[in-house]
Amino acid sequence: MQTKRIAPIDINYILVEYEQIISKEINLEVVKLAKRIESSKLDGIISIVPTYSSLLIEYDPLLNDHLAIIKNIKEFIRNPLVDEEVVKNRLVRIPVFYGKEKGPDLADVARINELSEKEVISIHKNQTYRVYMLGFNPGFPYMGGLDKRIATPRLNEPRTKVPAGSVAIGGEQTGVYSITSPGGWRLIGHTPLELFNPKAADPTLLRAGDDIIFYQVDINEYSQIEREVMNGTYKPEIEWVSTDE
Amino acid sequence: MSNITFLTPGLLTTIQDRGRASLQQLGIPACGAMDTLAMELANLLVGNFNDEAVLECTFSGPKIKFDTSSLIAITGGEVFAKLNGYEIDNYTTIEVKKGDILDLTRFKSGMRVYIAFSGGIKVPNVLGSKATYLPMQFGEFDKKISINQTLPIGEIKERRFFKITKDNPLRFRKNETQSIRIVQGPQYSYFDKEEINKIVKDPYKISDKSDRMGLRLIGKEIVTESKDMISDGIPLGSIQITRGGQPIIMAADRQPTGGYPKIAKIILSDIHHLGQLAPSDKIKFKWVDIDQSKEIFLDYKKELEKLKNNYRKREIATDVFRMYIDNKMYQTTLAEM
Repeated sequence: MQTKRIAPIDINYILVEYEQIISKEINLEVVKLAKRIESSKLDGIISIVPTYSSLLIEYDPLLNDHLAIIKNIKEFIRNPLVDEEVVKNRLVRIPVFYGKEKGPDLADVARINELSEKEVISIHKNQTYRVYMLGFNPGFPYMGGLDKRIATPRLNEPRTKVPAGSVAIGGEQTGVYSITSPGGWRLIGHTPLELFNPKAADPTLLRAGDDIIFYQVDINEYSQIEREVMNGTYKPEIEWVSTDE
Repeated sequence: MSNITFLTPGLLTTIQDRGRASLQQLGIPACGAMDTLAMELANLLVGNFNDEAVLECTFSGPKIKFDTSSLIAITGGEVFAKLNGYEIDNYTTIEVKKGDILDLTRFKSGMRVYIAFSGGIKVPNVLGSKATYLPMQFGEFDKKISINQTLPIGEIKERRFFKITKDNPLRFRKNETQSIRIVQGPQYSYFDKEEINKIVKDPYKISDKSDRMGLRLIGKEIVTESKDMISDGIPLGSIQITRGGQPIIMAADRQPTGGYPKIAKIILSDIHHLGQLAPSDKIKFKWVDIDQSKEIFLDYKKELEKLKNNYRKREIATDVFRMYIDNKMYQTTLAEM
C-alpha cells in the first residue's frame, strides 16, 4: 500500500501518512511498519506512535537524520518482511459481565436500538474488534468494528467517574475504560481485567493492531477472574493469529 | 541511604527526568522536565549523567534540610538561593553538608528552578522513569512534594566545582518578549497563507490556564476550514489549533495523540523555553526552516560540549572552604598538586 506522505517535522520527528481514512487495511499497514521500524533497531529512535492511518517517529538528531530514516522507511515499505512477527498479530479474549450494576446503561442501549438486552449482548460479543491505536488514556483502545445495530449516542451529561474496566459504547465505537476517569460513553458491562497497570512488565493489556473478542461470564466466573487478577495469577488469554486474509 | 527533608515543599515541586517517551504508543504521556536544558546543566554541574532525576520547582521553591553532604546545583529560572541564610550563586556547584538548610522560596525571574544532587534522586523507576505525572499517580513518589517528606539522594563521586557564567548563552535570560522559532507542523497545509502569516505577526500572551500538559495562548485566533482530521501523534512543542482558534503549545505531559490540527512545531533548541514561560509572559513566533533548525541545534550542542569539556578539565578538589562576606557564601577549593 502506498503512503501519501513521508515528511520530516523539524529535526527530530518524521510523520508517515497513509490515506487519511479509518480502515482496517490501512491500519494493518501502519502497525506493520511500526513493528518493522521497532525491530530494525535504527539508530537514535526515541518513540514510535502508530495511529489510525499515520505513524509518528521521534529520533535523536545527534544519532540519525531524516534523510537516512526516510530512506530506510521507503525500503521497508518496498520490501516487506515475510517474518512471522510482522504478519501475525494478537487475539485477546476479554471476559465481560454484561448488565446489572456492572453495566448500568445496557437497558438504555437496548431501548434506544429497539432490541432486548440479550440481543445487545449477543451482537456485542459476536464480533472481532480491532485495536487501531492506544490513546486518550494509558492503555485505552480505540477500536473499530462495532455493529451499527447497537451504536448508541453518548450520554448528554458525561459521568464524572467511570470505573476502570467498564465496557462501553459511544456512538459507533466501543471501548474499555483503562483507568477510572470521567466519560460519556454508555456502560454495558465490566471486565475484571486490568487494561493498565503501571507496575507490570507489560503496563498495558492491549497494543495497537490487536484483535479483541469479548465473551460473557456470570458473576461467579467474574469474581474468580477478579481474584486471580488481584493475586497476580491471572494469565491473559492471548493467541497469535495471521493477519493475512 | 542518605536523605533530604522538605521543611517546606514549595508551591509545586516534583521529581523529573527525561521522561518516558518510548511508551507513548501505549497511550502513556511522555512526561519529563519542562526545561530539559536547565535539567542537563544542573546535572552537568554535579557530575551526573545529563538525564539523572532532579527536582523541578514551580514559582516558589522548597526549603530543604540535608542529612548528608552532597554536591548540588541550582539552574533554570533565577532564584534568591540561600544556604543557612547566606546567599549562594545559581548555576554553580555547591557543596552542602549534613545539617545545612537550603532555601529556594523566592524566585527572581522565570517559572521553574531545577536542583540536581550528586548521584541523583534515588527513588524507583515507574514505567521506565522517575518523572512525576500529576494527573495520575503511577508510583509511590509520583505526586507533588509535601511538607516533611524525605527523599533519598545519591553520593558524591567526584568533587569538581564549576560555574556557568552569566554571559553563557545557555543560561536562562528573562526577555520582555521571548522569541520562539517554529517550523511547519504536521497539518501546516490545512492553513491558508493568511493564517500562517498571522501567527507570527503579533506576540501571544501565556494564559493562566497553562500547565505541564500545554501552554494556552491568548492573542490572534487562527482559523482553519472546519476540516475534520483523524487523530495522530502529537510532537513535543507542536502548536495545535482548537476549534475556537486558540493555539495551544503541547508540552511534556501532553496526551500522545489528538485530533486538532497542528500548524507548527517549536524548534528542538527552543523547546526548553516552555519551562520558563509564566502566565502573562509574552512570546513571538518566527518561522524558520528545517535546515536553520538543524544549524541552531548544532550550535547549541557545541556550546553544551564546550561546557562539558571545561567541566571535565577542572581538578578534583580535596578540600572546600566556606567564606562569608556580606551575607553571601563563597567556596574556595583545594586540589591535589
